[in-house]
Amino acid sequence: MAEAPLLEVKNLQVQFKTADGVVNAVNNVSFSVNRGETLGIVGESGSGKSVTSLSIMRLIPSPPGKIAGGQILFDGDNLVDFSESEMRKIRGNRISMIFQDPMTSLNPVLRIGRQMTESLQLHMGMTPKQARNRAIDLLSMVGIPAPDKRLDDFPHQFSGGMRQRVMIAMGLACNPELLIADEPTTALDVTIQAQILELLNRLKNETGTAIIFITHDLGVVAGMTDRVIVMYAGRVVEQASTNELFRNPRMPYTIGLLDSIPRLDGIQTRLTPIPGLPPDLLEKTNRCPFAPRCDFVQEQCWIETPSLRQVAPDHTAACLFDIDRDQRQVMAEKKIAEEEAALDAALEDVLAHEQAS
Amino acid sequence: MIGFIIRRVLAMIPVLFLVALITFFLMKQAKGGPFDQEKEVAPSTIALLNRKFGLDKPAWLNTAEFNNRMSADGPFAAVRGLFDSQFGNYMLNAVQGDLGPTYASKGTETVQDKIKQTFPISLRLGLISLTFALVVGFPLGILGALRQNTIFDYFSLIISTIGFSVPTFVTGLVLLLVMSKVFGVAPIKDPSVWEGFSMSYFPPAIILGLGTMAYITRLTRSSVLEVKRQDYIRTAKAKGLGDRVVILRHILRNSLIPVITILGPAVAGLVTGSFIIESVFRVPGIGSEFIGAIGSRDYSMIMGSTLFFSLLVALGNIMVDLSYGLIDPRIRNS
Ligand SMILES: Nc1ncnc2c1ncn2[C@@H]1O[C@H](COP(=O)(O)OP(=O)(O)O)[C@@H](O)[C@H]1O
Ligand code: SF4
Ligand SMILES: [Mg+2]
Repeated sequence: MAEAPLLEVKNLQVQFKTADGVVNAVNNVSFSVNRGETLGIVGESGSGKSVTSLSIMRLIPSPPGKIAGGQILFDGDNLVDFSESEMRKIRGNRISMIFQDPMTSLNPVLRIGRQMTESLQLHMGMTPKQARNRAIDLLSMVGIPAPDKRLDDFPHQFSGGMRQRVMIAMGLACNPELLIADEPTTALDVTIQAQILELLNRLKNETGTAIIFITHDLGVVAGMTDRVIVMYAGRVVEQASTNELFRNPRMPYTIGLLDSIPRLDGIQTRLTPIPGLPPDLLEKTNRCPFAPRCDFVQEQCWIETPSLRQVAPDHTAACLFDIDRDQRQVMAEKKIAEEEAALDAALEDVLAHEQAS
Repeated sequence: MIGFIIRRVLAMIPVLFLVALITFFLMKQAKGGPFDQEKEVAPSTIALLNRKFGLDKPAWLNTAEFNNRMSADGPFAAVRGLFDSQFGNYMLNAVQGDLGPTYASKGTETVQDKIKQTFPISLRLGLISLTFALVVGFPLGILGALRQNTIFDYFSLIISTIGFSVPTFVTGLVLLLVMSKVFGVAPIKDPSVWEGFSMSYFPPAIILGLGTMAYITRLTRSSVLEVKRQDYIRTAKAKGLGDRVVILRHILRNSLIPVITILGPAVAGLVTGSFIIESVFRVPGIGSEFIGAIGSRDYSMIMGSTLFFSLLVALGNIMVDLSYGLIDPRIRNS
């Protein structure tokens, strides 16, 4: 029997009360993270990735949000039952978080040094002097030149990439057991993105921290994560090791996501973003949430919500049918052929008209 | 920093000149003169008085003197002659710090003496008033925002709405009535009461500061609410900081920034508000002096105090801009 996971989320439900009704932002989400493991959470914007991660930190804005059900077991303790003061001992200490937008995530009126040392003094009981030395070490660890000088600068004196490095340094300050990185590169230029990913990869190996790496870009998780969960409309729709997921995606949504990544090997000839929009989280339905956009949709999909089921060893997917990528290829080719036939027919029609008149 | 101050001080010069120009023009448009009396005064007396105060000269430009001196003393003296007018002479003296004799005193007292004598009273009134507005308005706004939609919030909303919408002469008169009818406090007649800090300043100061206090309350409330939902506040919470630290270290300073911007206009509001409040409460400050001067067409007093008020507001704005930089490093460094 393997060691108990560091984090185990079980049937998490998160709701927001809004003027239009109750938004079910996270539905019955379950996953786990082992010590030292990197888990990727992938899904398009609005699929509930941030809400899930903020729930773990118990930082859901409340009201309007609330954890309506489920458990968040961290090292055996259920964080859902923790008091605010118990949570404060966890936040920034045993679990820390890096946010999407480094431009707005640092306090503009406080020096970087002050913002870095506050958690060190709070959680590790360091004196200001010790905390400052530790902050210098952390900044050089994330590759910021002249760290002792930069500590006295304000956030606006740093570029976006540098600010994200500062955020990462802050996140790692108290040697957390779990680091949650919520789209840490989304707001950055492509070249800077690559540098930040490289940095995270290196730090992951150096520190052994478990990481939840959130992104809307499957391409980014490839070199980064051990396991991936795919979220859609507040649900986990597929879960597998990164290798398995890339090799053998089984949920049509994941297949669509993978096919929309531009491939370097040139096998793919057409970039295929998934058409359509994710469903309204206000309505409670009992159909497959992906049905309106699914290429494989069948009648049963409109009357039954698929739950996660085992499709291969250590691989679960939420689809009623056994679908794989080859079928997608076949379907796509069929679709293209149909479209072309329709186009030809239309053209012939026009030509016939012209000849007649 | 020094460069900024020098630039701002220099920029005040054209502003003050323009204020003088407009005030002088408006005074000239008003009917009547400083020596109009109920009963007839001998025309010779009026002529004498006009001579004494330079009112026999043309208002703006003395072209006659220009032509005279042009032929007699050459162009340099001629230009001086051109400005040997009411406005020209006034400005020349004002630049040297002489704002001229007050008409009311028939020339025995200068305007600057009068300002020196009355301004400290108004300054005390204004400072108490501003302190009141800040010390009450800021916490009330913060409390309202942190306890959004609770009884605190509604209390702060009611207070600020009253302070904001009811004019000071109404609140002032009501307070006066309440003080005299309910508490039997007699109106103050003894001018020596106002010489140092005394409790007598508080009723007028609070009434004067009510509007500003209300404005600061509302602004602080919305500013704190805005800052509360910023990403960096979420970052601070994610570090495990307690509410107190998050509020004191991360929220307050950021929410001060918009509040500081309105302190400039607030100071101006206190200045103009003091005209009415000083009259209502019979405070012998520069505000009531100014109102008196308007009634008696005391030209030099009107000009002098208008310029002084403008200077005050301009200096207030410079100070506000400086404190802005103290709080917001983004401005300091640019
Ligand atoms: N403060 C909020 N109020 C109401 N609804 C919210 C709020 N925050 C998130 N949601 C809802 O939760 C859903 C998931 O949001 P989020 O977790 O931020 O998505 P992601 O991070 O995957 O892009 C959104 O579609 C939104 O409807
Ligand atoms: S259940 Fe039906 S609609 Fe849903 S993903 Fe599978 S095939 Fe598509
Ligand atoms: Mg998000």
